[in-house]
Amino acid sequence: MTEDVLASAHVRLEGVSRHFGAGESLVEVLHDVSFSVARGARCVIVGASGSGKSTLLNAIGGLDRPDAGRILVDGQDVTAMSPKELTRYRRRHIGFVFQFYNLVPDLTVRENIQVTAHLVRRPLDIDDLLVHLGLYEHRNKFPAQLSGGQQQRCAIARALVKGSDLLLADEPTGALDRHTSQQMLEVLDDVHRIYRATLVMVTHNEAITGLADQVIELRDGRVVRDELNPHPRAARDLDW
Amino acid sequence: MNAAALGLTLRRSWRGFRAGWARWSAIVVLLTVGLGVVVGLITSATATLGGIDQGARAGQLADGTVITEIPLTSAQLSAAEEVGARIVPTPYVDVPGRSAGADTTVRAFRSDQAVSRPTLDAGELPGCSDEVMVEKLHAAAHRLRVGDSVIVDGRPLRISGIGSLPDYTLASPQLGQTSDPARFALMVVSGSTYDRLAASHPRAVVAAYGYVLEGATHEQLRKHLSQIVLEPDRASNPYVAQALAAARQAGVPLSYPAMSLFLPVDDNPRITGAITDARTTMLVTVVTTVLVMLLVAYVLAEFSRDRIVRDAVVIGTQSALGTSAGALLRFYLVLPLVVTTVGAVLGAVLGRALAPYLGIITDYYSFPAVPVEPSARLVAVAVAGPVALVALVHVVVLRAALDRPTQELLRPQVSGGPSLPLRLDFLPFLTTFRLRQALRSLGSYLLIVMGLFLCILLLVFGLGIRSAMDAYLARAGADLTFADTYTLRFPDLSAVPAGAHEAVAVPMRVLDDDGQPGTTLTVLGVPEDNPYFPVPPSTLGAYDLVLSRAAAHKYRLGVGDAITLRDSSRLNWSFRVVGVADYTATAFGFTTPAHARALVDPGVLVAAERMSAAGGGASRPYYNVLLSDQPLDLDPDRVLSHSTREEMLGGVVKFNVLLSRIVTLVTWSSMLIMVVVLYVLIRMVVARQRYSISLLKALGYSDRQVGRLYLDNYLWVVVGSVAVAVPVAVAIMSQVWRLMTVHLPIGIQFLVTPRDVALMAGLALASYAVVRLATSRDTRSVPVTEVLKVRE
Repeated sequence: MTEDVLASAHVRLEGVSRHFGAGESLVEVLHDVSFSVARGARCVIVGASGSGKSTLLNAIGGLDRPDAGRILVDGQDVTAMSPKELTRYRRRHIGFVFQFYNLVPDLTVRENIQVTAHLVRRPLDIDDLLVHLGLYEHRNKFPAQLSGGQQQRCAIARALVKGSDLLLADEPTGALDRHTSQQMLEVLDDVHRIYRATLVMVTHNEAITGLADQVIELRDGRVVRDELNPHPRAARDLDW
Repeated sequence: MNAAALGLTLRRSWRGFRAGWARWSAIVVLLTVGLGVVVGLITSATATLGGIDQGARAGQLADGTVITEIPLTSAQLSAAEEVGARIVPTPYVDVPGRSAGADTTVRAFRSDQAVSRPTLDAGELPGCSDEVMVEKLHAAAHRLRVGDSVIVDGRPLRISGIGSLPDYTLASPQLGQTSDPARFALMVVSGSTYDRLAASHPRAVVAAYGYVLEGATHEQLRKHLSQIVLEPDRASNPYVAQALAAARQAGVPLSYPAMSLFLPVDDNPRITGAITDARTTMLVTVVTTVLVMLLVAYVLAEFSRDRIVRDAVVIGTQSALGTSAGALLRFYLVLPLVVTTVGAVLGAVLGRALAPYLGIITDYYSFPAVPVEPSARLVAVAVAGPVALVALVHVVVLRAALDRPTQELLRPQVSGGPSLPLRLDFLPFLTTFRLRQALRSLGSYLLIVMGLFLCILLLVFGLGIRSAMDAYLARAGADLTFADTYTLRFPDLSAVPAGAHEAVAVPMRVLDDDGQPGTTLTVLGVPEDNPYFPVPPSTLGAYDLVLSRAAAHKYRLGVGDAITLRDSSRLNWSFRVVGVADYTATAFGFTTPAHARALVDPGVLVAAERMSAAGGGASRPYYNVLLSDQPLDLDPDRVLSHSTREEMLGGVVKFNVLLSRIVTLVTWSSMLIMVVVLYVLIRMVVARQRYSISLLKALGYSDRQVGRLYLDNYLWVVVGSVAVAVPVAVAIMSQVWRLMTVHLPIGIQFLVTPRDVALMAGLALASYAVVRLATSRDTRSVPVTEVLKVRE
């Protein structure tokens, strides 16, 4: 990890630990996790199931609070925020993309994006987003009428529309077939290029690390790898 | 929230409604029926009590009524004012009449009397000598309208108005008259017409007065008036002079007060009858309201909770994206609030439409017509109450949901808790599966059991009242085996008329716990040969009483209890209850004639005996009541009052009819509510089981098999609920009924007949059958892919 990255760190974790349960059933999910992600970087956190990836992502997104350590986003200590401040933080900075999309079933594609756009004063142009994500012709369809890939693109648009500068994606290709996953990664690649948001993506798929600027590997809640990728590849060139 | 966001919220809510229109509509129906019943009953009962109150105020109802043997002099009226009471003449005269071709007895009052004045429903009071105001029940019986004519004492009078007199029921007719409003007509005539009628029928004039307390108490006035002794030579009743002479001859002090009736307004059965009935219907209303609102609140709360729990992922996602709790709450409130408001408003409209049909007390009591309209406050509470409840439930449930970590909301769990570690492998598979299902979803099943229990509570209440009243009516009819009852002021002790049976009645006031005299209990001395009443054993002690079941119920007394009664001389008598006789029609304390005579004023006894001896006949022991299965030819001057079996039963019938429409409404609405509640709750529970239904389908079960596995379970839930809920509900409602009827002289227990139980069970099963049919579509519509949506 270079000094440059640290200096321009968008996200910075310092000694973050998280455990669940107590006594004999205590499970330490994260243990003294520290790393930084530069502004505008594509960071992929990779690890096996149960390694603590999603817990880490939830903690960065302000959905969960670590038991120890600090998480700084844009220099602000997320771990010290009150519930109200966390809501404001998520509203202004965070865009979530979930593995199972979690779209509102009784809203159309456009409305699913609108419902998030209303949270901020200056949202991105929804039609532009729909065009960029190839959803314009599907804008009046309901989630049930879309394929998995289309639903995930809608979820990405929903995450982006607020102008979020930190996009957190939790296994965004986990529910998709290989072909659609590749398309999805291309979409993420494109939106990252166009909207310049920092992307933190969690996956169990090692192959996806190829497109990352930075790769962090978790094993049993510990960081076992934190390295920069000097030659990230385009999503279309990935193969697994 | 800006316009676009509002539009989005509304669109989403509308789609939410369309997606679950059947359940939302069921909620609307539940609210409409439930609140319709509540608003209807409260409106009706309030209007009734309001009408009574209005009649009293508009008619300047006197604080009490006094009737004297001879008109009071101006000096006597002035003396009463010094005591602190104003006594106002309200005389009346009974004359022959004819209405719509039928012969009648007209009781004519003056239009210019200053208290207890008539109140008008239509037209105006008579302004000249050829006009008359007709009491509304008589007018209704003959379909008389303003402008029609009636004959009063041979002269046609034009009806100038139709209205009521503020003692609500018909004033007591004289001996030989009937209280049938078709034949006994209360009418109000001008002063000049009254004077003419009084002059033509001087013996039929009654010196009645209304008194208004202006500092004095009822007791002070009663004492003052009782000191005005009737001068024998001025008494119109010749027996007064005979009795006084007989007593003087025997050296026994006896004086007859000029006053023959002193009746405070609160003791006037013609007024308290209407009020008692109205209060009872109000109590029925209150109990029904509580039950219906409990049910509505329960279903609404569960429905709201279920919706939010099932939307956990969406809530979690929106929360993760930064939507505030307030914004989420606003969205989740829109649809339930709109649905609740629509249901509540429809309920208020239905209640308004129902109310006039429930207010049939106006068909039986003569009090002013009042608008049977729900008050603005009632409508506001009826609408705002459920709306506030829904809002509150949403706030609590949503807050609870948002208090959970967001990642938990985002990761829904398969519903159902751990099953109990029971071995069920000895049972057939279907039974085992259903039992496991029930044990795993115990909470959901309890939800249905609770909902059914509240429905059954409502049904038991409605059906139980009907059965209890039917039984009471039948028992009262069976108990009242005599046709005519005569209370005698001057009994002829030389003989008992042929076909009659005598008894000794002593009206006494029951002392309450504070030693204050309250309601009147008649101690009845019944001879051994009396066929009409339960005859107490001749060995009964002087201070023992056998209570009729009506009295035991009214005063909550049983064998071994004590009761203290006060006689007319203000002496207190303490009795022990030694038995409860199976007589439900009236509150009596039965004793032997000899013991009853001991309670009678000795002067009255001696005078009666002497009068008989003076007549030269053999003197029988004193009695003052004659009972007969046919009308007796008695000297009217000897008689204090006369009542027929029809009149006595009439009150019971009146009360029964009064309650019957209310009970019918409660019963039918609770049936409908039961169907709706079962429908809403079972659909809700089935929706919670989508995962396991989908799983079974994935394993190869057909829709039909899935339906049998999941829906047939509810049959046993319904059967079990009915089996448990009915006895529990009967036990609860018996106590409620006892509290409700404590002011009524009704000796009948709350009763749920086997027919009622069969009806409830049949209804519950029929409701289940309807709901089974309606919800089978729900299990069919669960996609097999549902199981794939539950992740991790």
